[in-house]
Amino acid sequence: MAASAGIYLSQDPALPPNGGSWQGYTLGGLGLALILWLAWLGIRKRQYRNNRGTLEGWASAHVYLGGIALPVAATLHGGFQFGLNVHTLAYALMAGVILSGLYGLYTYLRFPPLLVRNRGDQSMDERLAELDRIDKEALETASRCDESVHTAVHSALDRTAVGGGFRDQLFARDRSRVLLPGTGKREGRNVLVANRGQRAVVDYLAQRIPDTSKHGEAERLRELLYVFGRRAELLQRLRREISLQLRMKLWLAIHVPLTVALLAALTVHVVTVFFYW
Amino acid sequence: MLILLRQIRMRGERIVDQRDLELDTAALRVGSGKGQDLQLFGDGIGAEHAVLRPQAGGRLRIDTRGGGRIRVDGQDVARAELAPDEWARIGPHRLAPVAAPPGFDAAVEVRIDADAAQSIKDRLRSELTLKLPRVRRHAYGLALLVLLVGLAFPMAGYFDDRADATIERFGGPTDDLWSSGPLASAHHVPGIADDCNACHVEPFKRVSDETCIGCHERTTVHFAPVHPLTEEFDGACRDCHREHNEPSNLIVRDKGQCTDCHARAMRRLADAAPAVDGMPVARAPDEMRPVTAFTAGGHPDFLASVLRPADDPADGERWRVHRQPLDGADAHESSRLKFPHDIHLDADKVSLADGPSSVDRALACDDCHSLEKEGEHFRAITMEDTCAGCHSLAFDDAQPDRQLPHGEPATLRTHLEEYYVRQAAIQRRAEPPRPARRVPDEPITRRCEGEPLDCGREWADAEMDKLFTKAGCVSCHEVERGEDEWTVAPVKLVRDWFPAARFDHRPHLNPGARADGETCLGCHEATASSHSEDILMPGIDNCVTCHAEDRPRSVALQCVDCHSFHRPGMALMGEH
Repeated sequence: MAASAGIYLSQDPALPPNGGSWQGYTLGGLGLALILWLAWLGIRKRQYRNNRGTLEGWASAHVYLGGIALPVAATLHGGFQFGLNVHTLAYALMAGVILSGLYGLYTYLRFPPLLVRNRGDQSMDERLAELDRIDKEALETASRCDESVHTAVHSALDRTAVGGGFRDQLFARDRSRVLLPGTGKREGRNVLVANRGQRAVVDYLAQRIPDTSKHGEAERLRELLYVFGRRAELLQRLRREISLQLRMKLWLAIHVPLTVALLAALTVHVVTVFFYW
Repeated sequence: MLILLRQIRMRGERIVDQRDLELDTAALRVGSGKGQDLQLFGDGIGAEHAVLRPQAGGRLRIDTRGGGRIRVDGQDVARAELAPDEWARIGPHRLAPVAAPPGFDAAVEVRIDADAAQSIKDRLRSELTLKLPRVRRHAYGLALLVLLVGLAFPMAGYFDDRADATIERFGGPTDDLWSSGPLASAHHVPGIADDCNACHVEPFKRVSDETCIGCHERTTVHFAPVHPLTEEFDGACRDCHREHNEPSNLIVRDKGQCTDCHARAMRRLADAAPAVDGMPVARAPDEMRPVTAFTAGGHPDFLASVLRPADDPADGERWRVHRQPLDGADAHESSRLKFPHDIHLDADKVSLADGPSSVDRALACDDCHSLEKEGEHFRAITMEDTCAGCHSLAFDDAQPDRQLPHGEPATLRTHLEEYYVRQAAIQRRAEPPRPARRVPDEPITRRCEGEPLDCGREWADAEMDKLFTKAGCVSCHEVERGEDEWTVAPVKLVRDWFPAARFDHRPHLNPGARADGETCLGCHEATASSHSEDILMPGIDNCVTCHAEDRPRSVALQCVDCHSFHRPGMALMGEH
């Protein structure tokens, strides 16, 4: 970085800083070499037998060189001259790659502790197994309840949404629904309502407790309430897990295509600069 | 097509129940997802697993989707065509085309494992799968887009004019996108601004000097045509003239462009200096001293280009240019005009009234020296325009409007003779009584006793002698009595003291430009000059008081601020 600045400042003030001076070519060459080396990380990280430096070392150098040295060298190479052309396109793509990389760095620093806290010493399989177990428990209990309760519980399980689309996963949205007996004008019909946080079904079950006539029904409803409470918490953790994992991988889904586009733009930049030398 | 779908749920080899379904479709969708014609659960069954299409002859074609597999004859395959009663497995279930009952076009029997249930992981597989953008597709798509827009389209336009016209008509990407910056305004002319190939003639080759000279043929060169450095110097137009910069920098002002060569002393070639206003340079130091910076020590002292009468005027050139230091024995000019600046600037001796009612004032520099519009040179000093306002050429007090011609002595004599012959003739004819005749400084009693022609000539001769020996021509000119006539030494004032340098007087004429508030006299010591031979040009010491580049807060100058690489008077590049 200091060397880049030194090279840049060595230009005579009477000359506009420009990619075409020897300083410009030097900084441009340095930037190109940096970009190729930085992009090589995508290959190096898949070379499991490669012993040349640890992967941690490579990643660390990738962050420092890509986050600090490259923007300095490339900006000074361009001499702060921007325009509507292929050269500025390469610069803009590089800026996009660096910004997405910095966001990736942020996610790697911030999200793993959140993931660990969210997991609560339970692996994904364990949590799914528990969900499966309590779902079966709910169905079994519901089968001994009133038919309308059974329908409600069955539909609540059936229409539980964990992930969904990209935005649902990213923002951990709960789009679960449940089919409940309608009230008022909808009396006598089942109505599909939002079941965010299993709240609708829990409210329904809680309302049913005072009206029970069957022996042991209230107890079963209380069991169901417990089950759905536990279920809501488990589902929320699953959604958060998906959201965090998506965030930790999403930056790379931007970083990599922009990098490939940057390599293409660099090719265009270098070819055209010398085509119209 | 009416299909009978027979679903038999089995537990082991025992049939649990059977359900028939009629479907009027050509393709039957099978999968674990909602909305499938046949919903089957179990591990390894995708949401949209396969499509069944009954074929002629009771056969059934199965095409899987999304990487799903079916098992036929112990092999996992992606697609298969089953013969009647040939069974395929989908997960734990089995299906086969069977003979269609009357009224149906086809029939499919499915044996469903009643105990098969989808594990929760399988059930939630789609929901738990991270919905990440497709990295590879986006990467290749973006890269392709960049290559198409940035390279392919403009390149197609470069090699094919018709393609170029088509791309431009639709506003597509052209080689304009390759421009690394705007052209300098000087090049914003049709044919250059809208055509990259006006300058970029050959791909992968730098813009050649020939391309520049194609338009700039009348620009002058830096070297004399015979200069030995012409071969050695490998500079190209683009070394100093850079295009596509922001801010525009068509002339690189870096002094290094000059000092790369001029930092060392150079031998000056005889006869290599360009003529000044058509006058050849007859004398100049043999050596060009090194220049490293515009400082007192980094730049040689100025050499004034003074004019000297030619030793041998027979060759038609009366004047020669001599380059010489501003001080020393030779530091004088030879215009042959007598002019004391000090007297003219002394209000006690010379004063001027601007009008009949205005108070007399001292002469100012700009009463005589009028700056040209270009700011560097002054309009030529002439008797008629500059001096005659004060110095009248009247010679007869009785006729103050009658002026002597300012020209050759012979012309002057003719003029005087004509005047005095007329005066003598009038005097003779008017006798008696004789009118008083007045001749300046002559006794009023002078009378013509002979022929008017003789009298007139005699009187004119006397007047000539007076003008050339006492007051008149001799006041300003160097005169000499020749064999036949008086002669006046020709006068030539220096117009350009430093022809190889530029100087703009205008910013320097601001009274605030100097600490002492002086404008002209701050640099030109005219009040101390009593002879016109004095060279009143300031030396480099005067300039570096403000412009030394090694002094903080100075107005630093680059070489090209004063000197032009393309030297006036040199050969044209187009002819070189």
